[in-house]
Amino acid sequence: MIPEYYEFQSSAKILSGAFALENIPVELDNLGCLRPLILSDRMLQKLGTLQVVLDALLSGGTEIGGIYTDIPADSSLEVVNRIGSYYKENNCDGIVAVGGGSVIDTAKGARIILSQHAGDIMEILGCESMKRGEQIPFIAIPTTSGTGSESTLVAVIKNEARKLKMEFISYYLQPDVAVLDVRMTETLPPRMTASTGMDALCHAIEAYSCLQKNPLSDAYAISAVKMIGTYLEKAAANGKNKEARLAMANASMMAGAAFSNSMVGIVHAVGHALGGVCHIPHGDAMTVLLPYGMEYNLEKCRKEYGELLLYLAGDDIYSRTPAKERAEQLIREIRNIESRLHNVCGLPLSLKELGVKEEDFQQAANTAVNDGAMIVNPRQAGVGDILELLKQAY
Amino acid sequence: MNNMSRKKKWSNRIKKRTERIVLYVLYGGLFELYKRDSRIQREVDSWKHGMTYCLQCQKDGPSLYIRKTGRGLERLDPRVQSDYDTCFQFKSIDSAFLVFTGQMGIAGAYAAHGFTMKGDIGTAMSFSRSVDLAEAYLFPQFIIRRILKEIPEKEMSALGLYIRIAGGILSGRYRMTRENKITYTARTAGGAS
Repeated sequence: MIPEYYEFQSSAKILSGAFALENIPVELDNLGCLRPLILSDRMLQKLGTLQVVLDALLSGGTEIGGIYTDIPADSSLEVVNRIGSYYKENNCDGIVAVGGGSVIDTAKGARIILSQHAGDIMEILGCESMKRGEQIPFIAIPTTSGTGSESTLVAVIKNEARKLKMEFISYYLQPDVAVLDVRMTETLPPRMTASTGMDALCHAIEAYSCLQKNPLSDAYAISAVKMIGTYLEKAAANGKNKEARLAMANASMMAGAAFSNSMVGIVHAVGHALGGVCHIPHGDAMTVLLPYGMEYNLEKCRKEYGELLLYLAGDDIYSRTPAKERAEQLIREIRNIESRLHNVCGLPLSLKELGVKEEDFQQAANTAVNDGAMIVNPRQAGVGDILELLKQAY
Repeated sequence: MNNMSRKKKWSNRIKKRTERIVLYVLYGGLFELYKRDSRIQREVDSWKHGMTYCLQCQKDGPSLYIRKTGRGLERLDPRVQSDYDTCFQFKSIDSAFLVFTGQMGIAGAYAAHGFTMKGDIGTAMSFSRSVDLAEAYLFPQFIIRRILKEIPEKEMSALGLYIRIAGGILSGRYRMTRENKITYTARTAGGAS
């Protein structure tokens, strides 16, 4: 079914595969960037992952304007402003972000500060309210396969002074180039591979079943689900499997492009709230909540879930399952994948395992109803519904 | 070729007029329901003092400014009020018309990129829930079934609400405040008393 109206944009150029990193200098040149600022974190510097990128840039003749690695997990306006000043002091003219969701989100925040010239950042807070601003070349190199941040149009920055998590949604936040190279994810531990991969699966499933879905986001979501079904367990079992690593990097990027253009739903709304209240890793929250969120939406999304069974479980299981049971079968398949990953690498299956306390449920539920993802969830959810969902997932 | 066709001009004029009326009635609905519907009461009570919302039909189209005060809700004059905390700005007169004539709900308009939203998304969610609830009273069942995800139970009759809104209009309860009021954001930023 085609929506009466929809919009879609996925503007990042994708460099995927062997020696993708070595092609970045040409892309920087094409973007008119002569002195990029490299953003990363201390862990990636310590692991040597950042050095692999620097080697690729330097061997291609790129002059590095500066390297900034003091980036915490949850970036604040203060960090973003510091990076903005560092960028100007070092006469940089573009950004290369190497890292997971936090680093790439921080880079997006720094790009907002540098490109918008807003007197007060609160003026541009919101959804689709940002102008293009000054062009700041921006290349994202993800080091996890889950957040899809390299293709999304969302940035979240903490404003500690105003006690506010500022959320920016704009097509102008998408990077110019996203680089998918297996050297960036091969050191990712199995548990993290599984958890971030489940986050990507959640992006794809929610993108395919929420109110803003459209034919193009569907295409990306389906391809992502298919790749995750084929490769997630292989990547978790053997991190050196290059085919699986590259497929998961692509799946994560595609799921990101899908949900950027169709949004996510209740699983993410509750997951964001739990992350804020109980400080649990986002991928773990998605793993635990996904089947319960799907059960909550089941009657509204029966058709979509049934269709996705083919792509996640393959044609054999799909054809053996009666049409009216395919949606339930999809949820069972997801639980089976999670259970196998639990056995392989200890992926958590309940909120209790994650250390969530029951007394935090009320605050999490109150926060979740005000999450932006809730607006496009196919089924209305109030505080009571979310409390019930949390109890089930406990 | 620089002139808009008469057809489009008339269509815009009619749509803007309709939107102005619906915004007025919507405000009346929210004002009355704040006193009579526990869910809207909860939502509005959760807004910070001075919180100012704006619903705008296109950049220069009809708009509604609502402010939370110590006594409840207050309607501000769009010709005077220059600031807001959260604003839903419809991208066109036409997308606003779809929402204000019950052809599309707020969630549907969001999904169809019908408006841009400026401000904190969390506070916008609370406002959109309040508008959904008000619409559930103001529109007939067959429309509500189409535009809302689920039909909320009414805590008063729709007819009763319409009578109260009519009374409110006649008594001048929804008259606009003709001064520029300080928003919540401006207050917390230390910009005003």
